[in-house]
Amino acid sequence: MTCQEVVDYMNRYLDGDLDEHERLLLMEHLNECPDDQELFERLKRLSSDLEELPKIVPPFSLVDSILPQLAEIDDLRDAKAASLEGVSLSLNESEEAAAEEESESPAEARSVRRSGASRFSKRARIWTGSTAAAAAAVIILLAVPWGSTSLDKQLAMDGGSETSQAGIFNKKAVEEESSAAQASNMQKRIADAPESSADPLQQGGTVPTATDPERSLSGDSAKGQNEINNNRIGPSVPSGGGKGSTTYPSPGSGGFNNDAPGGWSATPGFTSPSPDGIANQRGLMAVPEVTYSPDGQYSYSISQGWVVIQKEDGGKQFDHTFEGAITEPAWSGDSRYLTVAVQAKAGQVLTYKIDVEDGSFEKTEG
Amino acid sequence: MVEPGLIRAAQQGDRDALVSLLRDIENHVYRTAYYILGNEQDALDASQEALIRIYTKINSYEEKAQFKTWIQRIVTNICIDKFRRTKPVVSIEEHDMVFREKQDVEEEVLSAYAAKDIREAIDKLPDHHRAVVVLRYLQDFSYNEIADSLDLPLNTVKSYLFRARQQLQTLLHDYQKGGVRG
Repeated sequence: MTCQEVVDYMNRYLDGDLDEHERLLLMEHLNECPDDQELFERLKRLSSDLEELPKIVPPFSLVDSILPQLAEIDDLRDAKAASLEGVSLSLNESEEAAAEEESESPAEARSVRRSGASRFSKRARIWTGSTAAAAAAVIILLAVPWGSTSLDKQLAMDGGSETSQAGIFNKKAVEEESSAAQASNMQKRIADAPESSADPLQQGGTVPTATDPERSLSGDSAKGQNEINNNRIGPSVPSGGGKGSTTYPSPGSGGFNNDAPGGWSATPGFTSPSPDGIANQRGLMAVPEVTYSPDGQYSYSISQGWVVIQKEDGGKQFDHTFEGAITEPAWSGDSRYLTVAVQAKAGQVLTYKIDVEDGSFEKTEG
Repeated sequence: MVEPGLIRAAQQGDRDALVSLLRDIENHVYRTAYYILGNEQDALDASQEALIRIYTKINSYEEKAQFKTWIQRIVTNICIDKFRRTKPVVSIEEHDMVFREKQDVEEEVLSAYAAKDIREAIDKLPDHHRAVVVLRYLQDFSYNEIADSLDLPLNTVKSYLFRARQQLQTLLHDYQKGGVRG
């Protein structure tokens, strides 16, 4: 046996990969070779040490910690399914149905539809009748490729593309989103990780807004307020700087987002149950968003000059009205302080540091 | 480790089944991430990402593969591609030197390889060698299962595992001898 063969046999012995004959060969060789015997003993000990390495388990339930992200993924999927359904419905629409709907369509879309249902020459008349140049441009763009196709096909395409105009846009966004499903929160966090200690303020500020467009795109927001509430929690927990820039709650605080007492924390943030962006924005203006400290023990909400900090057990730690618009709220990494910037008169920006534990605050700059 | 019925239900859109499937595998996912990455924080991040990926990609799992190798492929890929990339890896040739320097400083006397020493030694292995060791010892995988998980030829798996053992053994042996000497 060559040296390499012996070593291979030793290793395969450790993996239970030797047959009886091979095992005997190995033992024979080892009896004659003390050096290899010593190596074999060391390898055996190493292998048994490796087998005894602690079977580490995570410090808290990982699945619980990602439930908010999973719910978000589900919402996006639902939205995607809904918009796909919209497309197939429209594809089945008859000409009459299309005509009936016409009165409800926006002017631009109506022109497009009529042109689709009519002859080419007729379409030309509509163009000349069109008053809005922009609308005409859209019609031309849409109409040109159809010129060579059959009427029925045109109609089908017409109906499809138009009734789900928003839907297709929606779908696109959803596709992008779900293909980068993990990307949404986690990768962002990972990407931020090396520099996350640099500017917790910025992270605290950017993360929630970055997710807002996705939120309003998901359309089907009337569904499952609870899930939506859950969603908010992941992205809205500020990083707190450093490696602790986590989206998972600390152990034992798994359910804090749902049943935190008090009117503030129960409000569903941005997610007012209407699918249109306008109402969403209204919700954004009127309802304060609740954001938890890195350790999950406190939450703050900000509304019309008020900063309210609540303890996880429901006790109010702090409330105060500041003179001016409050921006850039951010938790310190140890959850001890909340800093806010207040846009005072004459463009002055004052920064306040609120001590969460004793409820005091001080001006730090400006 | 996971019932085939649960996997099928999850693939047919049963969300509860999918979540409960994730609960069944989260320890396995985390354990691999922990030993490949060598620290809790990265392991948490990587395993959460892996679980989310499994959640979104469950339909791409095909029964011809073993489920456990499919999930280990996902988690090892995330660990190696995303997290490990930023860290400096000591090349195999440097092991001896690095380890001796360390002993001289620490001058620890050890009668056995402590789990911590083994973890540190594992951490010094190149990525794929480490992954092979982790799957073999922390997931009890066979050569074939490791090959499936890491998408490596069977012979490569063996050679990585054997070489990794040799390196670990050298690292730990020298470490111990140095400690006794010091």
